[in-house]
Amino acid sequence: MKRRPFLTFSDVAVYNLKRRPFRTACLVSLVAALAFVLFGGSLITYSLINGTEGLAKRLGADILIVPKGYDQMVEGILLRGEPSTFYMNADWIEKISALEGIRAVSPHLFVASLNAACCSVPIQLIGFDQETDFIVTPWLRTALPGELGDDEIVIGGSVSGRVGDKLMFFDRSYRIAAKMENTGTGFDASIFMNMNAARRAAGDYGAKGGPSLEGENGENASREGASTPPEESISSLVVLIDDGLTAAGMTRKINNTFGYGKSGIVVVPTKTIIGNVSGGLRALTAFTAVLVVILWILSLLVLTIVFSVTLNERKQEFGILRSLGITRKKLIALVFLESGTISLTGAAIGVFLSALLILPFRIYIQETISMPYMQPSLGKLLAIAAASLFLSFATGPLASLFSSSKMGSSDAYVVIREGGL
Amino acid sequence: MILEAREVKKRYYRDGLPFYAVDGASLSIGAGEFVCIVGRSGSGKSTFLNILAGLLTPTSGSVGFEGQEYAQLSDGELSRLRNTRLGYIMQGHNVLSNFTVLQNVILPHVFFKRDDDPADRALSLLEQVGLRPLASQYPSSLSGGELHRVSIARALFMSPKLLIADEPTGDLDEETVAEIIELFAAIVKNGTSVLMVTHNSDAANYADRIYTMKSGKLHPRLQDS
Amino acid sequence: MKNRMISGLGAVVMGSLIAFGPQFFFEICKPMANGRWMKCHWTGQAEIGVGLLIVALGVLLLLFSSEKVRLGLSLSLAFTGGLALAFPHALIGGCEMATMPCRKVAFPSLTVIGVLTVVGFAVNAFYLHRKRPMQVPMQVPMQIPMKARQS
Repeated sequence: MKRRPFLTFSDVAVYNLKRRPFRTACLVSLVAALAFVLFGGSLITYSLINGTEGLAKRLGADILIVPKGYDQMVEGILLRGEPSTFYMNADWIEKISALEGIRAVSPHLFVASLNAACCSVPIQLIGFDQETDFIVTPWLRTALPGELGDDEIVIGGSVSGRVGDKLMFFDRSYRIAAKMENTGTGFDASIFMNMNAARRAAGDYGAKGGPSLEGENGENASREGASTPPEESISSLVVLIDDGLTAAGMTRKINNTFGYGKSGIVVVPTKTIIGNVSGGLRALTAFTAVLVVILWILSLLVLTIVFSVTLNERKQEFGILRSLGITRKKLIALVFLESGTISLTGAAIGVFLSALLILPFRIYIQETISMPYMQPSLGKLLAIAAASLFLSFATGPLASLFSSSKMGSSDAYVVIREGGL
Repeated sequence: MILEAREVKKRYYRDGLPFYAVDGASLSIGAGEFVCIVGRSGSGKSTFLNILAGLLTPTSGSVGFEGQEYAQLSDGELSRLRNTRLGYIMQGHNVLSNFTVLQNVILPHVFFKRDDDPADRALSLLEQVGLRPLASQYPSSLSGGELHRVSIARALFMSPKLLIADEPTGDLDEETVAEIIELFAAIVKNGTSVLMVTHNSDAANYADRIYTMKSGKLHPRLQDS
Repeated sequence: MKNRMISGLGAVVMGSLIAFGPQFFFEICKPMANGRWMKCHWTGQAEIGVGLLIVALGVLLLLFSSEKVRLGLSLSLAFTGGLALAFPHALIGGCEMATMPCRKVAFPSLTVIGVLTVVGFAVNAFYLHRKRPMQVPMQVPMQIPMKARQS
């Protein structure tokens, strides 16, 4: 085995950094902070864009119709999986279908479970009509070849459980027939079942103290969205309109036909929901981009200043190295080696810490910013990490460009030693 | 002839006016010679030595080392010359504070690709200058005289033909100066030529030739007695 | 000395966070309505044991000055950190829903602390392993080419 040389060229750079621990630590921290924000900002922004795209893809309807006052709730269900239970009369299916320009209508029934099998938080159960549905079914097609039975469910990507496992809701056992991929939307935390099963669950929900499907209170029975709806109930309608018509136009038409504010329903164009999200997203993306650019320039500036200030104090050191026979090229290489070591170390630390803090807290972040949030695939993730690493690393060599260009002339290190001359 | 400088001039500008830091200095040093240059500070000695070491380009005139003209050498070749054949001890503190005494001595070894292990040779040189026990200390814990001896050991490390030393006795007490000068005398006896700039008149006693530098001009001084 | 303080105190802090964090700071789920404990409770119990073990190893790091002993302690700390990661992620696990507090906050926190423990002490072990006193050969070749100085 060859013995390691006693002192190598790269050791010279390493010792120079090691013997100035405070300065080195400060510069490494600066680059680490840059890499942290760069990677973290890109990752969160990318996940939000990813989530919003997922939402737009999953929400394949032009308009949603929900009971009056529940438009916020449906947004909560779609974006965040916040469970809620509300009803409207099923005859709205007929009423809306009868309108001209409507291509397809399908009902959903939302029931919040009181507790899931293991845990004490409610979970959103979504019933969908397998005959008319165009939202969930196409998406399920690959995972679930046949019809969904009354005791079968499909779980969202972030609900744990494997296909074939049993989950209990309202003391009834359901078999997991399929599991969906993560979408970054509220669907991830939801459970899908057929309309029969959902109605039964809604009945159970009522029996457990929630609002029941059977009308108990005559006063509320006729009011849409109230806690005691008539028997044939639904929670929302997803609607497709004919090509050439606009969602806004159809919204107006429905409001005119049934009387705006009096009908007991609200028409929500899905573009509004997605638009709200992407509006917030644009602001956040812009903010992140500005922050990253400012920080990058700031780091470059600070490093350049530090390197050129130390260049002056190191002129004597460089002169000594020159007197010992270091070539100009090697001296410049030494300067780049030092700055590169600083920035690479900082960049690696920053990206690592950023990944460590952001990746595991996916759900927490999603809930805190209440927007669809979908972390990128491993390949994309590595690409973002590599780009952040490179951009942060680049600050080191770039910052020493200025000082190394000053070292170009051969007289630079010697003249200063003349003192009074 | 090891080193030969002919009519070397170096012009600088001060307040826009040209002046010559070195003004037509010629000097040649043969094998095994001990040459001293004395002169007041600001007389251009250091500039002259930097030119002789190939660190500064003269405005006019030429310098040659063992027949090779500096003007015809690339930076790489000139650096290699400084690295192996010409030991140069610059003025003032010459020892890099980020490296131990031993690492400082070995430093010239790492600038070009080499295969041998230098540690043993460096330690024996440190033994000769009496610093062996301090090999793994950092320069901050060494005295001025010890630092000078470190730079002498380092300059000798690549076994140069010529050793140029710029005031190796500066800022030292008398006893230490005597030790350093004896060290140089021993180096010369060992066959290495030495060119030394000094204020110290004792050093002159060991020298084969002495020059005085004044306003950039070099004058031979006749040795009295 | 500096390494001893930093690594020892680091282990004590990490261990305390692993042991008591899930109980007090980033809490795991409360018992269900029917009073039964959920899976994450048992992960929390296991982490108390692992965390206290890490604290104990950290105290030992503070007590021993021998670098070889501290190298061994650092290695076992790195593996114990791995165990702290294994309970929530593989050996016991937690609640079914990703939105439950244990999966949302407690486990990610344990992940961060666990990874920091593993990486930190792996690096420390590597550092202690590489760090050796400067090797100055004891034998000096006696062939001295230059005449010794007269005193």
